[in-house]
Amino acid sequence: MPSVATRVPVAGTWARARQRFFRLAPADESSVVLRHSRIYILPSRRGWAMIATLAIMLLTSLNYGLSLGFAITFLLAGLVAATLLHAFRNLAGIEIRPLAASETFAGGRIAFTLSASGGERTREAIEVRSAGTAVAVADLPAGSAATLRLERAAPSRGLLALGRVTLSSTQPMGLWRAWSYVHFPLAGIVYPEPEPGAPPLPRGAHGHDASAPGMGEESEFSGLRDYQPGDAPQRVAWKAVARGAGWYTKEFDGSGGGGPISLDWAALPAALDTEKRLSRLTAWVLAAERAARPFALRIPGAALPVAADRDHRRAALTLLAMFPAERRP
Amino acid sequence: MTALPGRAGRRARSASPLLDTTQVRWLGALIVCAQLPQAPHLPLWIAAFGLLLVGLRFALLRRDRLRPDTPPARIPSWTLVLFAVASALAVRSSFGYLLGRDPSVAFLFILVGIKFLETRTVRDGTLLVALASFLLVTPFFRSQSPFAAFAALPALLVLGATLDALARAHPGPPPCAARSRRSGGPAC
Repeated sequence: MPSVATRVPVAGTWARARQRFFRLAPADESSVVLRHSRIYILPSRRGWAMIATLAIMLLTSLNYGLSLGFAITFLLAGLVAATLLHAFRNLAGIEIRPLAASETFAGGRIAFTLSASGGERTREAIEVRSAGTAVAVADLPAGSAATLRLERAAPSRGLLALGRVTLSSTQPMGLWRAWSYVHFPLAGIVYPEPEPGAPPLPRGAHGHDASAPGMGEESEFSGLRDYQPGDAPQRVAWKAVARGAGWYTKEFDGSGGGGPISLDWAALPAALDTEKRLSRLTAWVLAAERAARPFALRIPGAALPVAADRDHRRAALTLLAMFPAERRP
Repeated sequence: MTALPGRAGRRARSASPLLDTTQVRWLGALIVCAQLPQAPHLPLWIAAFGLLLVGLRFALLRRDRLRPDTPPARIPSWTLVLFAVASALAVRSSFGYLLGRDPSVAFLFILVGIKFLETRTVRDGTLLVALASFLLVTPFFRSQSPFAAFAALPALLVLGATLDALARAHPGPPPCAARSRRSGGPAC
């Protein structure tokens, strides 16, 4: 699910002008159609080379009075001018909208998806990039939308914004580079990195052994959900896989697996610093989810009641991801 | 402002993508089309030598295609400097002087061939397009007849096609990918 930050209003004449030219603030609506006011065009390196050549050809024709030299020079200049218009038309009218931001754990990669449609014309070789992402090149066929995927590394936890996106194209003939900025308030959540080799879950309220097998006999089967990478193998619905029906994971009612547990910030060893604590709590949330045990989470400034469904897990991980870095308990 | 064109251009300069076979062929066709109208006005050995250089590159391309497992033919760049100096001296001895309109045109004629022989990257291709466009004006020093205008037309058409082929460069396509792209049409 995307987590969409709020739009930032831009105030002041100077700030508005800067915003209009460079789109530095994430102030775009949910869908942007590229119009002339957003499209910039300058000659590419090849374009500059052609313009310089044309200037030399013009000088030569002037110097030696070559009428046919003028004819060729102006014909080629017309070609360069015509490609300017086509470079504009390749971008103009593209509708681009934000789709989603993925969620990941720190150290992983986060993916943003945008949808672009070119309307009635086919658009060739549109390059899309944002800071820190590789360039995605896409041809947009006429009358259909393409999904563009921008991936970047997520080194630390918190909210990671997509930032300003540049759409550019040098088609046709590579003489002009047309580009546009769009800046959507699209951000993905980077959860803390789960502590590798974290200690087992703390003891449950009912005194069950923490290392008891995750899925006890008393847990009740409640349904199937889509398989997510990382689900425990013993919970995969192998019968469905064998039938060829797809990958599903069996879900169990929260009461199973050894009773509710409480994940408490204050109960962690005092030697751990903030990031280590978040990392361990993240690992425990994942372990509790794998073991189908309901859990409650208490961290300074926030608490979650006992629950066991996926929304609860996401809420817990989000709390841990957004925990302020400098705050000390 | 991470995406200003200047910075992107500088990055492109450090690693200009290599030309694929289709692009080299278009460049060769453009140079032949630009050389041919000029050739009748030059001493025979210069015209033959300039065209021969282009033919040599096509022969090397053909050899690479017939034997795909052997490494592609490479001509070391220092031999090309020798080529250029030697042809400058030869042009000078043929005309009696080098710094003038006609010997310069003759030298440019050979230089385009030499440059084509060592062309590897798309940036070289851009330079060749510029040289070929200028070469296209030089026959008019000698003749501005309707026939001269007509002779320049094929080069103009091929120039547009070459620019288009150069713009379709995808970063580092292997030769087999280039072949499948040709058969698959421009959609890929």
